[in-house]
Amino acid sequence: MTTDTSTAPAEGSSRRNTLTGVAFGLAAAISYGSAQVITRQSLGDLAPPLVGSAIALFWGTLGFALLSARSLGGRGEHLWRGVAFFATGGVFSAMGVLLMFFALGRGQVVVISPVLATNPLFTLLFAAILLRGVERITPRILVGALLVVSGVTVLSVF
Amino acid sequence: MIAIALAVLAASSWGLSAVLVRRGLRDLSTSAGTLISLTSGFLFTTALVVALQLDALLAVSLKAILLFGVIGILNFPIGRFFNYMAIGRLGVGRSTPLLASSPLCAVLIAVFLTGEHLTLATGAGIALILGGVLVTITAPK
Repeated sequence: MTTDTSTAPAEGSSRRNTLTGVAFGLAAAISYGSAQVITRQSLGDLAPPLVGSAIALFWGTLGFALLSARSLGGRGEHLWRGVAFFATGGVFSAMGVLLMFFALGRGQVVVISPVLATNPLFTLLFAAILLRGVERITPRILVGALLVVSGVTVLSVF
Repeated sequence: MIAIALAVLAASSWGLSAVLVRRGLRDLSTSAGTLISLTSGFLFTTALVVALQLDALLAVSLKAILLFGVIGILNFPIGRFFNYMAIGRLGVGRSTPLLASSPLCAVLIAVFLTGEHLTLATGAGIALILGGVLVTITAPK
């Protein structure tokens, strides 16, 4: 009788990778959630949202530059391709915030918030189109995203 | 109708951003990528503020600068960096629902720290989010 143990280290590494990924994801969600609470509690009339975003981005960029100056580095030969992807990603992220403010300024929160909450579904759609061969979007991931979107919609409407 | 269209565009912008980051992570470290995305986002937003709301920017109080600073630090060096680390380890498909659960964290923080009440609807929303996160993170890679 033989026992195949060759896949055990790989499985352990994959599980560790998943657990650290989940921990990082939760840490990000907690950071974003804390910022939302502070915004809701204290920043209502201090500045227009777009101006507030610019100030927050200024501090965030400065803080991150100071913290990470020593650990910056590229991988492989396609450094500038990576720079282009991240720079474009940053612009789309900021554009999303701007469009959200415009939407909230023209419509009711109970209508707009659930629409905004659908962003994971757009992520999966774009991933299925643009990350073909890199990442697999399974029905199970889609079901998970639909449940989260439904939950966020319930939280934002009630 | 325009408001809903704008909201759809906002949601799709965030979706596209996450996918671009996933592509970028193949060529650049998470730290460098986070700094580049923050810098480009800051330049884009500042250009719009200067073009559209320069008067409001010049009239901002010191209190607002400091409070938005706290939000900036929570959202960007911490939030965005961890966000990209999660994308790098889990992939964009499995990390997205996890990151989208931030309103759940906001509700829990508000309940425990600021004394907001938990309603039946809020409980149902929390259950749906937790179920979705569980289904997603246990999905095979």
